[in-house]
Amino acid sequence: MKVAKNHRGDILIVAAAGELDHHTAAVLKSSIQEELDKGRVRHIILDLSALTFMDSSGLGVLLGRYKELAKWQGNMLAFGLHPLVEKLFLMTGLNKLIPVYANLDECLRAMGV
Amino acid sequence: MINKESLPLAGFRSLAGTVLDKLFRNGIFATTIMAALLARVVIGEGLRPFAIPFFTAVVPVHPVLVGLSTILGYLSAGTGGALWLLLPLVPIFLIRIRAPTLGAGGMALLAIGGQIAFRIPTLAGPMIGYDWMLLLMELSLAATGVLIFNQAGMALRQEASASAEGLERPLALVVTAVVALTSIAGIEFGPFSLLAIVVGWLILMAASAGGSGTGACAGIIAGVLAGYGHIYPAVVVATFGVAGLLAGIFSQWGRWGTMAGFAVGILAMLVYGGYPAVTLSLADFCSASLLFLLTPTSIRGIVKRLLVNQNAEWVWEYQLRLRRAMVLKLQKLAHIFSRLAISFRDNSGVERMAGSNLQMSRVFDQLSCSVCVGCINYKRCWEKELYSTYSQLMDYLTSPQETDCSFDGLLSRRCHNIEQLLSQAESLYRQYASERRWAEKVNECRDVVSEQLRGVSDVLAGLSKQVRLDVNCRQDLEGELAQRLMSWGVEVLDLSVLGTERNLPQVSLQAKVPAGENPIGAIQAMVSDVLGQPLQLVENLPTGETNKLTFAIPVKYQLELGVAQAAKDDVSGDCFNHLQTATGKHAYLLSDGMGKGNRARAESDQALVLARDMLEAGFSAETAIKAINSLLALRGNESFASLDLAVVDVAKGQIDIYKTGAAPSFLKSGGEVEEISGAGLPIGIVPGIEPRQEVRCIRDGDYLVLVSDGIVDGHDRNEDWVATQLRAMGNVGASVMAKQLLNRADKLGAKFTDDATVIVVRVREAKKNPYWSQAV
Repeated sequence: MKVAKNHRGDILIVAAAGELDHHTAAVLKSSIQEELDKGRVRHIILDLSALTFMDSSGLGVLLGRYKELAKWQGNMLAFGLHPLVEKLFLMTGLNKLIPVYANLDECLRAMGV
Repeated sequence: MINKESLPLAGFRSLAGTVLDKLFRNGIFATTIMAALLARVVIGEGLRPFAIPFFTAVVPVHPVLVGLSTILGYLSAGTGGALWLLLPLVPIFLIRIRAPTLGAGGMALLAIGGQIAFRIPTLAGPMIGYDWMLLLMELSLAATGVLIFNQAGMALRQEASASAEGLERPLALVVTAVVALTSIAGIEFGPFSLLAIVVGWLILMAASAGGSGTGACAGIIAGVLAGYGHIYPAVVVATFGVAGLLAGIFSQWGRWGTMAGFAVGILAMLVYGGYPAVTLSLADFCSASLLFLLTPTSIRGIVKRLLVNQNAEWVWEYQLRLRRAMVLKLQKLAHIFSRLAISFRDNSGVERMAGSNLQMSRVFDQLSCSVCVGCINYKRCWEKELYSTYSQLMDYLTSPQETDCSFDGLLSRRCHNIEQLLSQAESLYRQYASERRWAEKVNECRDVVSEQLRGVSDVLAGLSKQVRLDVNCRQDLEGELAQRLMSWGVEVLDLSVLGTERNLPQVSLQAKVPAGENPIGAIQAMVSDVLGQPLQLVENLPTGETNKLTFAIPVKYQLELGVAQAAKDDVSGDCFNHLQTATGKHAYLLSDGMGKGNRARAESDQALVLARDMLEAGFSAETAIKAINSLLALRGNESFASLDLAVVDVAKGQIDIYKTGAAPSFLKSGGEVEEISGAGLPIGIVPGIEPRQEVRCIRDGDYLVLVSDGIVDGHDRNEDWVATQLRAMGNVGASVMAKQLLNRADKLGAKFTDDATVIVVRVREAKKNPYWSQAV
C-alpha cells in the first residue's frame, strides 16, 4: 500500500496504490489524519486509479475522514475507481457521500478551482 | 353444529341464525310469552293484577308483540271484558312511547291508573267493603308488579346498568317467571301436573345456572306460589327452598348433581316435615328431571346469561372504561415524548447555530482585548473596519497555507504587533475548534436521545391508536360476538378483538367451552362469521375448567429457514438472527461487521442485538435502523456494520427489505432471479442515514436469499454469478440451497477472502388445515 499526498490550496490530493484492506487501512488513515490534524485541509480528493482492492476496513477509513471533513463543511471527492472498488462504492451508497469523477480535472472543476 | 360438512348450508344457517339471534338477543320471544302468561293469571276472586303492569313495564321496547300477546293471553283465560283491558293499554302505550325512561314512581302510578281504568265496570256497580279490599289488593299488586316486571324486562333485554350488579334483576326475573307460570295451574295430563313440572324444571335450571343462592330463591318463590291454598304453606315453601338450595350446591357436579341435590332436598324435608312436604309427585319430579336433562345447552346458556351474567355485563363496561382511560393516558405519554423529542432536536439545532457564531465572536473579542487594547489603531481595526479585520483573520485562520508567509492583507501593513496577534488568534482558534468539536459531540448525543424519544413516542402513539380503534371499532364486534357465544351456551370470561385497524383481526377468548361435538369448531365458525373474515384457531390453552383460545387470520404462507456460514478466520464477522416482531411479522437479519475476526463479530453482533430488541419492542424497522445508526455513530470510532433486514408478512404475502451497506439480496421466483440492491450506507459511522426500503410481493415457491459480501466478492464471483447459481437450483429445501450456494462459492476460489454467510428463506403455501376438521 503506497500513499502519495499533494496540496492544491486547501485541497489535499491523496493517491492510494495497492490493496486497501484491514492490514493497510491504518497506513492510509494515519497519512490523511496527519494532514487533517494540521488544520489546513478543507477538502480531499482521492486518486484511486492505482487502488486494486478495497474492503470494509478501507471503507471505514474513508468514511471516518469524510466525517472529519463534514464537521468543517469540507468535501471528499474521488476519481479513477477500479471496477471492484466502484462496486463497493455503489453497494454501500458511498458514492452519495463521496462523489466519483473521471479524473482530477473534473474533481477540481467540481470544487470550483 | 357447524362443521366442515355443513359449510354449504352456511348461508341458510347464517340467515336462520341471525333471525333467531335477533329474536332471542333482545328477549323478544321470552317477553312475548311472559306477557301472554301473565295476562292469563287470575288470583283468588278474579284478581288480574299483572297484565297491565307488565305491559306498562315493557311496552316501549316491544309494543306490538307485547300488546297482542297480552290481549291473546287475556282472552285465552276465557273471561270477558277484553275491551276494558284495551281501554288502559292504549293511553299507557302512548305515554310510555313518549316517556320510555319513566321512573319507578311514574310507572307505578301509570299501572295503578291503568288498573283503575280496567276496573271501571266494577267500580260502576255496587261495591261492598270486601270489593274495595280486593281492589286495593289488586292495585297494590299492580304497583309492586310493575317495578318487578321492569327489572325483569331489563334482565331479558340484558340492559347494562352499573347498579344492577347484585341479585336484584335475576330475582325479579325468577319472580316474574314463577308468577307467569301460575297461569298454567290446574292443567294436568293424567298423573302429570304441568305447573309442578315447570316449577320443578325452573328450580333445577335456576340452581344449575346461578348456584345455591339463586336455586334457593327460586325454590322459595315457587313454594310461595305452589303453597297457595295448601294446608301447610310454610312447609311447601321450606321444601322447595331447601331443594333449590341443595340443587344449587350440588350443581358443581353437573346436571346429575343438580338433580340429586334437588331430590335430596325434597326427601330431607319429607323426613323432617312429614307428609305435608310431599309437594311434588314422583311423576312430576321425574318429568321435571327428564326435561332438565334434555334441555339443550343453548337454552341453559340463555338462562344462565339471564340469571348470572349481569356482573359480567358490568365488568364489561368497566373494562371498556378502563381501556378508554388507558387510551387517553397513552396519548398523553406519546405527546409528552414527542414534545421531548422536538425539544431536544430544536435546542440542539439552535445551539449549534448560535453557538458557532457566539464562539467565533468571543474569539475575536478575546483577541482584541488581549492584544490590541492600547493600540492607536484599535478603533480603526475593531470598530470602523471591523468587518475587514474579521474577514482577514478568518481567511488566515481557515487558510491551508502556512502563517509565516501568507498573511499579506491590509491588516499586516498597519498592525504594529502582527506576529503576536496571529499567534494569539491561532491559539484562541484552536481552543474554539476543540470546544466546537465537543459541542458537536454533545449535539450528536442529543440527536440520538431525540430519536430515541421519537421512537418511544411513535410506539406509544401506535399503541394508543390500536387501543383507541379497538375501543371505537371493536366495541360492536366484541359485543356481538359475546352475545352470540353466550346465547350458544359458551360461558365467556374474557374476550378481546385486536388488530382491526390493520385489517388483521385477532380474537382472544377465555371461555368455558360447552360439551358436545367439536364445540371449538363451532366457536371458530361464529368468530369468523362475526368478524367477517375466515379466522383460524391458532392457540388453545386449557386453564382449569376454561380454555384460552386465540383466533387469527390464517397465514397465507409458511417460511422455511436455511443458513450456511463460513469464516475466513476462526471467528466469522457475520451475524444473523430471526425473530417474530411485535406485529406478528417475521424478521430476518444479517449483519456484517467492519473488518474480520472478533472485532467484526463484535460490531455486527452489537448492531444485530440492538435491531432485534427494538423490533421485538414494537419499533418500526426504519425507526430501529435510524436509532441504531445514531447510537453506534456516537462512539466516534470508525467501526460500522452493514445490516440486511427482511420483514416478511405471511398474512399479506409481502416482504420489506431494508439494506444498509449490505451486499445485494436475491429473490428467486420460479426460474427468475431478481437482484435487490439497496445502496444504503452502513450503520454506525455517519449520522442521519436514510435506510432504503424495497417492497416485493411473494408467492408460493419463492426464495429470499440474503448473502454477505464474502459470497458476492471473490475470485470469479459477483452478483451475476450468484444469480446464475440460484437460477440453476431447483425447488430444494432452504438449508440445501444455502449449503449448495456456499459450497459452490467455496469451490470457485481457493479460500474465502471474507466471511461468508447465506440465509435462504423459502416461501411455501400454508397448509389449509381448518381446526374444525380436527377432533377436539
